[in-house]
Amino acid sequence: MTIRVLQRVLQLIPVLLATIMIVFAMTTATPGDPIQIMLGDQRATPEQVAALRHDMGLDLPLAERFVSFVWRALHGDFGRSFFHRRPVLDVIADRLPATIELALAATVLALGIGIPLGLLAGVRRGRPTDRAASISALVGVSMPGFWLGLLLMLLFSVMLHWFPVSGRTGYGDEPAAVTHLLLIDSVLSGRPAAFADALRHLALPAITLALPMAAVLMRVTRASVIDVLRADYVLFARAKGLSRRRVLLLHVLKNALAPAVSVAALEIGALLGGNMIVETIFAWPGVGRLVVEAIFARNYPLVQAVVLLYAVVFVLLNSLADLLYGVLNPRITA
Amino acid sequence: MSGAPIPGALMPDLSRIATPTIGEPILRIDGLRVTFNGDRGAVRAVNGVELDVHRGECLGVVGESGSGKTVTFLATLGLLAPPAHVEAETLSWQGIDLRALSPAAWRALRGRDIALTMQDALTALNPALTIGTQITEVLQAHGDLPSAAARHTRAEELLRLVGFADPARQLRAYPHEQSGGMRQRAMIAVALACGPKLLIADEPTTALDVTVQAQVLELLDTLRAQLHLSLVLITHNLGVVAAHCDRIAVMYAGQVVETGPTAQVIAAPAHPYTAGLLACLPRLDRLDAPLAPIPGRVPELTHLPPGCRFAPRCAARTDGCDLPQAMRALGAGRAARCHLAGVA
Amino acid sequence: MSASLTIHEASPSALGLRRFITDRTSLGCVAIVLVAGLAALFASAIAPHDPADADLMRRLQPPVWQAGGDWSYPLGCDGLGRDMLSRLVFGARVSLGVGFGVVLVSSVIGTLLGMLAGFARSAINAVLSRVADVLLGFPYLVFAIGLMGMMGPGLGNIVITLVLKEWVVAFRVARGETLGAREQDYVEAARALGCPSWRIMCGEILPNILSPVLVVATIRMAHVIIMESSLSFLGLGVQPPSVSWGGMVADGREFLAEGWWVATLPGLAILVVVLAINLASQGAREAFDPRLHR
Repeated sequence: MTIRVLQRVLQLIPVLLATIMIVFAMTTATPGDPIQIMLGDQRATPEQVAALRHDMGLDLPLAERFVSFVWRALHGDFGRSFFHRRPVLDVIADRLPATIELALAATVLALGIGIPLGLLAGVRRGRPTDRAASISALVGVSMPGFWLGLLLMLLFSVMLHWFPVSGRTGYGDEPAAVTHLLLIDSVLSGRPAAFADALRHLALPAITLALPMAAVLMRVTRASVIDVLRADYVLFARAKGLSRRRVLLLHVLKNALAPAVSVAALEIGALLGGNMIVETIFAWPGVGRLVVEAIFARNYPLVQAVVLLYAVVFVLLNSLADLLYGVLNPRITA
Repeated sequence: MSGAPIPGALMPDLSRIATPTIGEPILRIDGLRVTFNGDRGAVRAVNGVELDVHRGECLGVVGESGSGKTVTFLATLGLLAPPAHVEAETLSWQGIDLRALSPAAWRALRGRDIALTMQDALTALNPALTIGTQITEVLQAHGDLPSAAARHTRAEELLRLVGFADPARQLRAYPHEQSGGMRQRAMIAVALACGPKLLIADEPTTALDVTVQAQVLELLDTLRAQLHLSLVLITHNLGVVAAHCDRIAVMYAGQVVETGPTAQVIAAPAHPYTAGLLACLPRLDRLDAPLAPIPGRVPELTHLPPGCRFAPRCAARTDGCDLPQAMRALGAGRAARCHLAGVA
Repeated sequence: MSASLTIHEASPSALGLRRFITDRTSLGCVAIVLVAGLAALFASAIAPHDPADADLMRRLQPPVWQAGGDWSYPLGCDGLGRDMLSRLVFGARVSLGVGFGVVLVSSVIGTLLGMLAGFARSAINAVLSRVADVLLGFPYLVFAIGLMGMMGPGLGNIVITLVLKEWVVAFRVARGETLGAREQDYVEAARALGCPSWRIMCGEILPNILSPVLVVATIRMAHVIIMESSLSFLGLGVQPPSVSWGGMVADGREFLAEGWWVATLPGLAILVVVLAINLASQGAREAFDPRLHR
């Protein structure tokens, strides 16, 4: 196992370098002079422009710019956010907990809905439960995420007033920051009202992000459950006199879960992109909304840094899923 | 066909088999029908099978693939689910009517009273669970040993019983880490965990190398004697049956066509199909004699002949073969599904 | 189980076609996509009004079935008093046009490169495959949002961005199929006869990889439509006066309370078209794949 982890880490190096290269290539796609675009209507002295140009490394030749970009990226140095007048990394770090909280909640929700439903549908293949679940899942994968978010907002916030329309908290005073995740911090500081408030704010964005992912997970789990149910070892497990529960939850699920895990990891990619949209819709103060704002503010260093961050997270999570796959399916580790 | 006992041979020495000490029947099957309801109509894979398994005996069930051997015993264990549909006139285990059994009662019976091993241990053992888990979970399911430690000890004993020298290590192994023969033994250990009275071994040697085949069969013989097991050996290999079974049941196209004590059936088969199967076996005493394959093919279950199912391939076919055939008792525990049997 | 259940059947593709055209769901879905496609093609003829014709007198006029609606604006008007129906019809042009165009261009590029990589199996293959892997390892929407953010909005940029990510799909299919076809006897024979590579590729291999590429292209169209509408929703897509469904949903955000239809109807249009494409392609797979009929 240790060797496998090491192998995986070594394989990561070229992938990460390539990812950095793509992000760098994107930055060269900016039309015109990025400095002028960034400055927009603001008046700036030629000295200021030159300083900014130097600060962003734009006065160097392309190859040198790339090397310096990689070098600085590896050190977590993404330059300063012109707009926030602070280092880009600090700006991102401020917004990160909100995004992590939302993404974690959505992932837990998606796994909690998608996998049991997929198991159920696979076991009851062809029966009404399966049909209902399969059709819902197909609608789920066909639904544009931004529209789902607006529908939920229209129904539950605007019409029913069950949940707040937007934001992360209704309080001015947040619970003492320990993990920076409001749900956990409010529990740690023993404030049930703050917890409920955080949960109410989190509910709709998390559901919006989770449902499409749950739909994909459900479809994959269902297909692999149907496959596994045909396997000899399921028949043999039944011949041993095991309870239906144990056959399904251990023998079937453990084998069916491996494909679901690798798909879940790929779906994290959709989650990261969806996160930018959902945070924008619900005014969630996270990194996703930050990047969309940054695009319109022509804050290119920030856009660069966030895109790179998301890509790296995606690569890392996929490697993690690979390792988890090995745990679920011991044949791979051999 | 009249046959003298076959001496020598790849066929084994018949004198090794003791006269069967047949106890009372523990498993009784009569009029068993299994129908698969597919998109394109129903297919009857098993049609009117009658079989008894007696206490302490080894019954060999022989037939080509598709003859319904496996399906018959899956039905007996209640393991067939829709689209398969099972009907029977009699299906009883030690006097209990299995047809009326609740799902919970079925589960209690499976693995505890009647156990099954499957053809290929590689696919029958769960690839994601250790051998240890797969043994102890049977003990746990049947509530035999309440403590995990006791189950672990028992699992070690079982692995030693089936011939592992290093049971502690094998308990932690995954199936893919074992060789074919080891997996087969491990699967037998799983089946024997709760001390079943009847073991149904489905093609126990087909997936194995020739050298390992003999070891596994020997192991089954030993276990049978040690544990007073009744054994059903499902195989397409008549040689295996002749060497290890007290009685034989020959199946063809979803029916039993001949039953009887192994020695007598092999010495003088009453059904032309049995005779044909025997003629396919190579014999060491007549190496120059050509093997005689049975002409034609097994009929498809969707297109069965109206009368005797073997008639289209039978050399002794007469007019009477166009009528459905019933089992005819021939005395001395023998019976055959052929109107010519015992007549001439 | 040892029961043999073999049943003879007619030619599988004929059977598949019969299964497909007797499946009402699949047929209905094909019809929906066709109707949307025709609406997009003949938008100017079909749309009752100019989609850009604003009139604040008609601001948020509800659809005909609600109080205050009337038949001249059957689906109501948006926040600037523009006719929803006409905007939906013109929006189909962008959504389906980008969906179709991007998939077409990507399929052509991907197929050519895939054949080249699969056939050459040399440095070209190694380089292209590596590039494809890295692009594939980049989250789709993050890539699209990032690149659009850098390049700026606009129809051309959307197409460039999506093609840059999308060609990989056709590339992988075509490369895999080419690697397989390359080993076939008829290709070996053609090579032995000294046929030039390009003739083998076009004459022998292309016809064989066309159908898997087409199947994948259909499904991908659904995905591209969602991507385009997501970008347009964020304001990174086509710019006014061009209309896109995603942009219409964004327009409706601020009127969620007063005019539910402004955001809801274009989203519904996306859902219906994407669902129809997905259902039809699922129907086609089930009809033509004999393994699903055991």
